[in-house]
Amino acid sequence: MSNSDYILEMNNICKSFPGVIALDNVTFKVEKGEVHCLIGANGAGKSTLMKILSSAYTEDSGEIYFDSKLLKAHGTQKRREEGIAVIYQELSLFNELTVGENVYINNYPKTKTGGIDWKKVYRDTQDLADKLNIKIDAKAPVHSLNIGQRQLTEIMKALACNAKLIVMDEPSSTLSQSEFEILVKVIEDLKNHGITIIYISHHLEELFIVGDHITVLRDGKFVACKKTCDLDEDRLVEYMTGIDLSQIESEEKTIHPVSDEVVLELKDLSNDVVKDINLKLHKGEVLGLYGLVGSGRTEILQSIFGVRSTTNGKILLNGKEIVIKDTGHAIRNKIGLAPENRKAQGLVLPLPVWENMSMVSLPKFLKKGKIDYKSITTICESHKDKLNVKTPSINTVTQNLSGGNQQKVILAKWLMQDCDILLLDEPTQGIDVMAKEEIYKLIHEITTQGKSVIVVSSELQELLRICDNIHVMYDGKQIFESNKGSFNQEQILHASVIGRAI
Amino acid sequence: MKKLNMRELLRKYNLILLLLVFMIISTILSPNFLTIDNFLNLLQQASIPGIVAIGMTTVVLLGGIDLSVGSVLAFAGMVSSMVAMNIGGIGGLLLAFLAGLCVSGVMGLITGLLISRFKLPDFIASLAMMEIGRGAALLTTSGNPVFGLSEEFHEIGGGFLLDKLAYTAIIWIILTVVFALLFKYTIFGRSLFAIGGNYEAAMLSGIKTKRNYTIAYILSGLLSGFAGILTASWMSTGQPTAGNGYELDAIAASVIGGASLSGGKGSVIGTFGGVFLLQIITNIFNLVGLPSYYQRIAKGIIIILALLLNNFVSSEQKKK
Repeated sequence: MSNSDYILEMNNICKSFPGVIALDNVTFKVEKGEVHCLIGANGAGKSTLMKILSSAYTEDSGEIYFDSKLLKAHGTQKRREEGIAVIYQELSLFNELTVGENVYINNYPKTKTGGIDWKKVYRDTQDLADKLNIKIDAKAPVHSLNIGQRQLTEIMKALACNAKLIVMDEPSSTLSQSEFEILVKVIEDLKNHGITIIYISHHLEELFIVGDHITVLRDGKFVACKKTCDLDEDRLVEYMTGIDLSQIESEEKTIHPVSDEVVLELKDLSNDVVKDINLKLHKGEVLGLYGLVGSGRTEILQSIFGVRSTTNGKILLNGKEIVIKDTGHAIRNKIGLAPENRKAQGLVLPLPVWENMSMVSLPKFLKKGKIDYKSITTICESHKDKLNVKTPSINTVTQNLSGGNQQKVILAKWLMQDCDILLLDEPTQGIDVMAKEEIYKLIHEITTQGKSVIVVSSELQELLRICDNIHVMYDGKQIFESNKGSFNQEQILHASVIGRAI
Repeated sequence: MKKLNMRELLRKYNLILLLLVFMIISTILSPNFLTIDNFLNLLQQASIPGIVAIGMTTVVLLGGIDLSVGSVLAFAGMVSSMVAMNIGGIGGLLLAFLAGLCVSGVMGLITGLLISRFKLPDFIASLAMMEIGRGAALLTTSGNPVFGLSEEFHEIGGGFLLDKLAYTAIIWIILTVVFALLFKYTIFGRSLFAIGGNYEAAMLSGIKTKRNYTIAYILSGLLSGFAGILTASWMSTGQPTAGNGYELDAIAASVIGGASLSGGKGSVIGTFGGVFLLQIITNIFNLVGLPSYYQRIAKGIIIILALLLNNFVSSEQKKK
C-alpha cells in the first residue's frame, strides 16, 4: 500500500467538528529527507491536519503511514516514540529550567543508581548543539535565551527523542532576520542528517528559501502539491485564496493626500528601551515603524499609550504637550492601541465577540445609569458586517474565531470608541492573506476619514504598501526615514539590519 | 442540531439538574423534606452563608480569592454587638449597623489595596486579613461572647415575615438580584468579567483594573460584615468564633455555581444555587439523623461531582 519514497503518507483524511468539516478527504505526502511546506489561509485545516498527525485529534476516517508502517495506536506520547515531533508556535519550554533539562525532560538518562545522569544530560546536549552548529550553552536557563535560541532548544528536544520527522508550526513568526538565517542553516543541517521537516508558515517568501515541496490547503481541501521551483508567490496566493490577486492590488493603489496638520508629535522621547525619538504624525497619515523584533518599535507605542513611562522628552497632542498617565487617559485623548499579542493582550478570549468589541466604548452605552444592550447589539452587528468578521454570531466566544477575525474584533473595539489616533502593533501577524487585504483596506478607509495610524510591522512589504512614511528602528534608536514615492526597499532593509543608513 | 441544543441546555442548567436530583433523593429519604416549612427553614439557614458567597463570587470573578470573609464576619459582628450593648434606642441600633459595616468595609479596603497596589498575592493578603480579623474579634472581649442583646437588635436577623419567611432570607434574595443586575448592567460588573478573563487586555482597554480590584474586595468585606451583623442579631449574641470556615463554603458555592477560580466566569444566581445545594445536604443529614461527620464527606463528594459535571459539559463545548 505504501511507497517507500515517502516517510509520511496521510491518505484521505477526513475530520469534522460539530457544524464544520475541517478536513475533507485530504491527502498529504512527504518524501524522506525533504523540507515540505504546508500552507493555507487560517481555517484551511493545516493545524487540524498536524494535530491529527501528532494524535492530539483523532481522524474520522483515512490512513496514516509513517516510515512504511500504518500508524494505528493513538496518543501523542506514542507518536513521539514513533519519531514524530511537533514544535508549536507557542513554544513549550520550561523557562526556569536549563537548556539541557528542557532537551531531556521526557527521557532523562539515568545513572546506575537510578538518579539522573546530569553529566550525560549536559554532554549530550552540547553534542547535539555542536552537531547542528548551534551556539548555545547547555547549562543556560531558558529564560535567559532569545526567541531564536529557544526555537533551537525545541529542535534539540525533538532530536533527543530521536525524531525522524519534525513539524515546525510558524517557526519564523517571532524571529528576527538574523535568527531566521540561523534557523535556515539548522534546517539545512537537519536535512543533511536525514531528518524530514514539515514547515508551516504565512511568510510566503520563506517557503521559497527553505522548501522542496509545497502543499496548499484551502477550506479543508487539498488544492495542490508542487515542487517549490515550479511555483511563484502570485501562484501560491491564487491557490490559497482561489482569487486572482492582481485585481485586489489595483484598487488599493490610489494615494490619498495627507494634510500637514500634525496630530501627534514626539520630541526627543526616551524610555527604558528607546532613546531620543522624534516623530510627527499628520492627520490622515499612515506612519510605519520598521525594525527587528526588540528594536524598540513596540515600546514607542507603549509610551504613547501610557503603559510605559517616559524618562525624557515630550509628547505633543494636537500641538499641546501632554503627559499620558495611563491607558484610560490615552483613550480619553482619543488614542487607541491594538497590541502585538492579540490573544494575551488584545482580547479577553473567554468573553463573547460583542463584549470584546464594546470593551473600550462601554461607558458610551450607558442609558440612565445602566448598560443598554439593545444599542450595543445594533452597533456591534454593524461593525461585524462592516469589517466582515466571520463569526456565527456576536455572542460567540472570541476564542473560537480565527486569528484574522480576532484581529478584526480588536479593530472594531477601537473603531467603536472613535479614536483619532490608532496604534497598530503587528496588525497582520499570523493572519491569512484575505484578512490582511481587508485590514489594509480598513486602514486606508479610516485614514481617508481623517484618522491617523501608526503601524509597527516586521513585514516590510506590508509597510511599503500601506504607509506614507516609514521610520526604521535599530536597537532603540531611530536611524532612517523614508517617504512615500522615494521608498527604497534595499535601504530600509539594510538600515534595519546593520543599524545605520547607507 | 437537536443534540447540540440538549448540550447547551445541560451546560446552562446543569446546576438545576443537580439540585433536582438531590431534592428527589432527599424527598425519598425523608418525608419531611418536601414541605413548605422545611423549605423556609432551608432558606433561613442558607441566607447568611449565601450573603457571604455573593461577595466571594464578586472577587472570584476577578480571578481573586478572599479567605478573610469568615473573620471579617466575626469581627464586624463583635463590633456591632458591642455598640448595640452599650448604646440603646434606635440611634444605637443604627450606629451598631454602621460600625459593623465600616469595620468590614475598611478590612476589605485594606485587603484590596494590598493586592492591587502593593502586589501581594490575593491568597496571602486575604490569609493575613483572616488571621488579623479573627484575632481582633477574639481580642474585643478576650474571647467571650457578648450576650443579652436587645429584642430590637434581634429582630432583623431573627425575625420572620408573617412568622414564616426569615428577613435574612429576603435580604439574601434581594442582594442576589441586586448583584445579578449590578454584574449585568453596570460598567463595574462587566469590568469584573474583563479583568478576570484577561487582566492585561482589560488594562489595555482602559479599564481601571486596580480600582475595580479594590472595590470588589470592599464589597466582599461589606457583605461579610453585613452577614456578621445579621449573625449576631439572629443569635442575639456576639460570637467571636462565628463564621469559622465560611470562606471555604463560599468558595465551594461559587464554584459549584459555575464560577472559575481563574476568573472571568461565574454568576451570583449560580452561587445562590450552590449555597442552596450545600444547605440541602446539611438539611437532609439532619432530617435523617446521621452524624455531621458524614455531612462533610458528602459535601466533598458533591463539590467534586459538581465540578466534574461542569468540566464535562464545557469540554464537550470546547471540542467544537
